Amino acid sequence: MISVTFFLFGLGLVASLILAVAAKVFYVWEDPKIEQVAEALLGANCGACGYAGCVSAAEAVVKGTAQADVCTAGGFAVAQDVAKVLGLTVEEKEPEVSMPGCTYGYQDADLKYTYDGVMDCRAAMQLFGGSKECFIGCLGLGTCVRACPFDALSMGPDNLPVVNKEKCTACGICTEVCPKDIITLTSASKRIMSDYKTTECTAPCQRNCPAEIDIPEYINQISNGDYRQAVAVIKEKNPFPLICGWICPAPCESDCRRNLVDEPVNINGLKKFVSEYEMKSGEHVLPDYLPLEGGKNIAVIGGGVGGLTAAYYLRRLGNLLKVIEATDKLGGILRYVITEERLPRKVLDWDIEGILATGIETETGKLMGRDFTLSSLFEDGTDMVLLTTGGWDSHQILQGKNSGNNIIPNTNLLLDFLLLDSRGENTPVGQNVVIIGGGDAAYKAANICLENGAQQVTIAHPYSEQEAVQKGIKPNKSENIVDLYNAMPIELRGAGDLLVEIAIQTAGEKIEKVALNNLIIASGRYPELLITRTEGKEWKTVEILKVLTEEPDRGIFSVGEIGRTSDLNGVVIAVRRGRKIARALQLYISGDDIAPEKGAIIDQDELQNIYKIEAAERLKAARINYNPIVTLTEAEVVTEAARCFDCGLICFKKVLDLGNQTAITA
Amino acid sequence: MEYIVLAINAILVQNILLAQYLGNCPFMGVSKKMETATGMGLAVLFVMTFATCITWFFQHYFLIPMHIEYLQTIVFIVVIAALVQLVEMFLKKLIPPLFRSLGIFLPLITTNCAILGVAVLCIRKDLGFMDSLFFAVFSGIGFLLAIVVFAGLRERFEISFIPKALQDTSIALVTAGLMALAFYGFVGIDGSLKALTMN
Repeated sequence: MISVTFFLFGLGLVASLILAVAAKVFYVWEDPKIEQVAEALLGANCGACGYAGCVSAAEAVVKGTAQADVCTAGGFAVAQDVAKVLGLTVEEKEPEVSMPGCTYGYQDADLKYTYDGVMDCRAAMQLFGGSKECFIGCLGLGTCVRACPFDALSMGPDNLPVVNKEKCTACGICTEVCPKDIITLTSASKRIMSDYKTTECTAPCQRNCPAEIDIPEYINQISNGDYRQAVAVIKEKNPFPLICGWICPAPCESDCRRNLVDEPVNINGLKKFVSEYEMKSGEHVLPDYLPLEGGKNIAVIGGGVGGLTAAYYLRRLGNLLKVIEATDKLGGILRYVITEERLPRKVLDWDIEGILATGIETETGKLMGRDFTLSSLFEDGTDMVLLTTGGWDSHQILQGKNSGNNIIPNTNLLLDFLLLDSRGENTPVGQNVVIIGGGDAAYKAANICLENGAQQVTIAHPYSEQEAVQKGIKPNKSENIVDLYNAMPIELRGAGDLLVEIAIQTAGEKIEKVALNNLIIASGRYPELLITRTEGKEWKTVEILKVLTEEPDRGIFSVGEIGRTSDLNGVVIAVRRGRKIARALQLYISGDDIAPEKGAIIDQDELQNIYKIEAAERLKAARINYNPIVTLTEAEVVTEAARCFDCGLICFKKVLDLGNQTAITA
Repeated sequence: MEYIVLAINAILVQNILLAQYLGNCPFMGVSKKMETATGMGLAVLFVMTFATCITWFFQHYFLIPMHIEYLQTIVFIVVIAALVQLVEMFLKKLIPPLFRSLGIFLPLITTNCAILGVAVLCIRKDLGFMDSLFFAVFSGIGFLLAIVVFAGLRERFEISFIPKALQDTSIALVTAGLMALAFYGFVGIDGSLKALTMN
């Protein structure tokens, strides 16, 4: 008995000795931080970070190959914990959330066949891409719901996944398992930055809106009675909701599917109602999330719609903004050109106030070339300058104290010049004429000049000779016409009321100096920057163009070529351009490609659509028209919002409960 | 030829999981995913082989000479546990990739009944050292085969309609039972093969 006890004791002793020795011999040093970091992580081992489990991610963080915010699912809170272990700091990022992009479940959608197989979207996808007619429709078999490691997804009553925003960690696993790629991670910033894509469920109105407002969504919010949220949805793409409510030409309505049945939904009237609701409440709808620090110091020159829109979105994307305006007040053409009856100034002030409320500095009464220059801005710590001088006919607008006495003499717009000629009125010209801009119209103008007494006409084409041939422009054989290709005017000199000389840079950095008496500009409007001149008898145009050519990497941006694309015919188009330039600038700041996103919808795209709506009688309901000066009443708004088909790409709400709307026809 | 018969016997006819019902704990526990099931199967194969060798050695050089065969269970458990710990440390130091793939499974099966079962079976069947070694390897392969096939079936549960009352473990037990029935079909093959080799 005793020997047995000893045997077992000995066995245990030997085993423990061997293990003790082995523990020394085979000791592997592990950074204790790895364990601490692993504890700080969520421990779900979801793999969303790209590492095989939380421990691997922790190793990578400790090794330095991953950042403290490695845990995509954990968000800022976890990143902070990890950073605390490592003694680092992290910046807060805008939280993202998963958003399924389909509006109608398979019970409501048009189907190709009835699916009765394995309950998994990936399996269903194998059979002709799923049962729905719509090629991007949710198959509704819940693959994403089962894949979610955080129980944030559930199947809604309409067979579409519903996201619990509290639980969603934006780990991105659902986006990967969805065979239709219709779940995306999104945030307001991402939506500001993105274009609608061909593989996204969009309504016709939404696609036709130049500002790309999510129209069905805001009408939905109106139906839910949440008017402030509706304004928030609009402001994601358009910071001027009330102004657009007054003066937008509403291209969205021309594409509304109700046109196939009766009349379009009064989309703009709805927009006007909710934004007026915002104004009456006296409280601006501000973005949920505004980054506080970081970003660049950006100066926006020009406080019109384009400039203010760009400033608003650049601010929302986390930059410090200053808008510099030459006149006394912001608003540009809206303030100085559009009449009070069409757009009351208190409406304009309200929307501008809403934009400035996000924390944008302004300086008014500051004219470039007189009160500041690009160089002085850069010296004062500005990182980037965005030129949105846009649509001013600065000659006419800046008269008076802000004009700086800098009207350029003997200069015409090509369009005005041709217009006068067609009326039979001669515009007297001097011996030498320079035309900036090309095309057949430039040649036509050149010939008119020659008839009116010019000896020589120089045409500065913005494109190359080869491109001119491709465009089918026939070169003029007249020896009195000189063609300069790839030409860009860089400086204009004058004396008193006369033009003296223009310097034109052509291909290969060569600078041609051409003497001139008259200048004709083909751009839609006077490019203000070209015609801001110095004081005195012997004058020249200010440095702007010199800076542009001498310091191309200095961070100067403009909405399109100066004066060319700024000839905008609707406030909503200026809004679009403003947001696009903000996007381009933000991408430039982060060092990314500023080209449009792949798969973004362009005019030529053939999208799935429907051209006929059946059961029209049941749907018949008259549009509540409105006079832009009178706002719809709340009852009218509810009825009008109910007329919305809530369209998707090809789906739409088929049964409408119109209530007693027939009584209301304002 | 003898080993072929042994292999067929250990892998199919006397499958450790489906005929002997040993090691049902990992069979149910880690068979939800093919990946982890494979890791578990390989770990079992590895530990089973080592454990059988060392316990055979202990049985024949300590327990039998000292006439304390009644201590078999306790001695085997201690020896296997110490061995697995040692192997784990060894792998961690010298073969990290293998440790990473098997690491988390090794401690799980230290005192598993399938491991002990095979070690004890070898003694009961009075197998020689080489026979024991091969028997352990083949039993491990049998375990690997059964758990991988089972995991393949269980992965399909994810996308099948299963009545609520039967979901998860219930349906897994039913499936395991059906698999055992299927393996029951192999009974007799080993006997016939043996008879064939005898002739």
